[in-house]
Amino acid sequence: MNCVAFRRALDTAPGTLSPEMLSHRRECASCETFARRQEAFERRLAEAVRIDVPEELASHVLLAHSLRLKADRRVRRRRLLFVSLAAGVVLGLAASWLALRPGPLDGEVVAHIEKEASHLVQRRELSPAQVNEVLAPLDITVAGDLGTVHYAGTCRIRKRLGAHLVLSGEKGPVTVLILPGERVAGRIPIVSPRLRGIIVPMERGSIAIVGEPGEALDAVESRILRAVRRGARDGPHVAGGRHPGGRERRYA
Amino acid sequence: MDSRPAQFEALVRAHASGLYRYSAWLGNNKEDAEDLVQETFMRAWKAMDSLRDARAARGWLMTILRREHARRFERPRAEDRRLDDLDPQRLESSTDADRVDVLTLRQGLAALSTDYREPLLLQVLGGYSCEEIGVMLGVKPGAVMTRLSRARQKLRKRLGSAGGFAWKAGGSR
Repeated sequence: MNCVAFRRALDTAPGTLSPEMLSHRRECASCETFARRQEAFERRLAEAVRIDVPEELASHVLLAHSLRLKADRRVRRRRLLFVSLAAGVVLGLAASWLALRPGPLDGEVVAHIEKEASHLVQRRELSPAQVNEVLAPLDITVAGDLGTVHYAGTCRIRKRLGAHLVLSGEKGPVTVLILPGERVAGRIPIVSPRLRGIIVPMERGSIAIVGEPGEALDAVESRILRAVRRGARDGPHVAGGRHPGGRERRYA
Repeated sequence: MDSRPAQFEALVRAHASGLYRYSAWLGNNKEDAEDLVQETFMRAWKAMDSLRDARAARGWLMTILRREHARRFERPRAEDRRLDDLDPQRLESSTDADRVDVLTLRQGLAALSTDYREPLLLQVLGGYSCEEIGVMLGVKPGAVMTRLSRARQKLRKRLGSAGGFAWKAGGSR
């Protein structure tokens, strides 16, 4: 080892002297002096970097850390509370929506017929003109034979205006609900303890036909589909589905 | 040691002082040093599970501190703030001449560029080898050796021109 390598090695790793370096130091008086000075320099350098540390630094760090954790926990608790409240609101809204949304149409039809059961016992026979007057707000006319009509009126099912007719059937009264706003994908059978029926899809809505068990509903359906037309036969179309008189009409 | 808080407290008590000195020299500023140490330990707390070997704790903490320092001070700051810890009464050196040398070295350290100061600090304060410093700084060991050698030369030169410590130690072979 020469002096340059010895001194460079001391400069880069002063604390570690290899056997080769130790040997050179013993043999070279100049490098021995350099090494002693270097050791003194390193002692001063070590002292120079050891600047004063604030008293109780570790305690300050631990205290600040615990306070910050506490603050973080408060923030997390608030965030959790907010999320819980938001989730509660969302659940409440969902529950309200589920509670308020309409049930299946067949159930609504049966409920409506049972609610207005008084129409089933009407015995008056209405003329086609009277029936058409009732149907005018719905922009619907009867252009053929419906059979005997005992009751005709407008009604609301699922908040939409429709027509409620009661016809004479073989087994008893047959209720026909014309539902312009209720579109259905296909035919829906109606079965309840006292009633049987069918909901038939139409061009812009549907028609429910409901009678006693055993009633020949197919024949009634054929008659209705042949007789009922979209559009007023006489007089102007009534905008918004309201009767010119501004009130819902009924004949019984 | 069983609980996480107890491990954390032991970590703080063992390394806070060393980190503080490293932080102060790294930023050349004692005002920010304590904040930086606080933040380093906060981050260490969050990542405690990744520390598996207690012997690696110092290097792990220094790496966190270096990253935090780089994040905070990624934009170069005006060198208007210097370490202000030059009170000779506080020094351990026995003679006035020694104290003057230490003060001169502190001034010299503060004046060194980060490229020279940082490996020197890691060696003197951290006790790391050239290879370890190279890994921490992302440079080759040869480059670390060059920087360490030049850093010492600059400090010796400063000492020499300040009238302290004579460095002309005779010829070499």
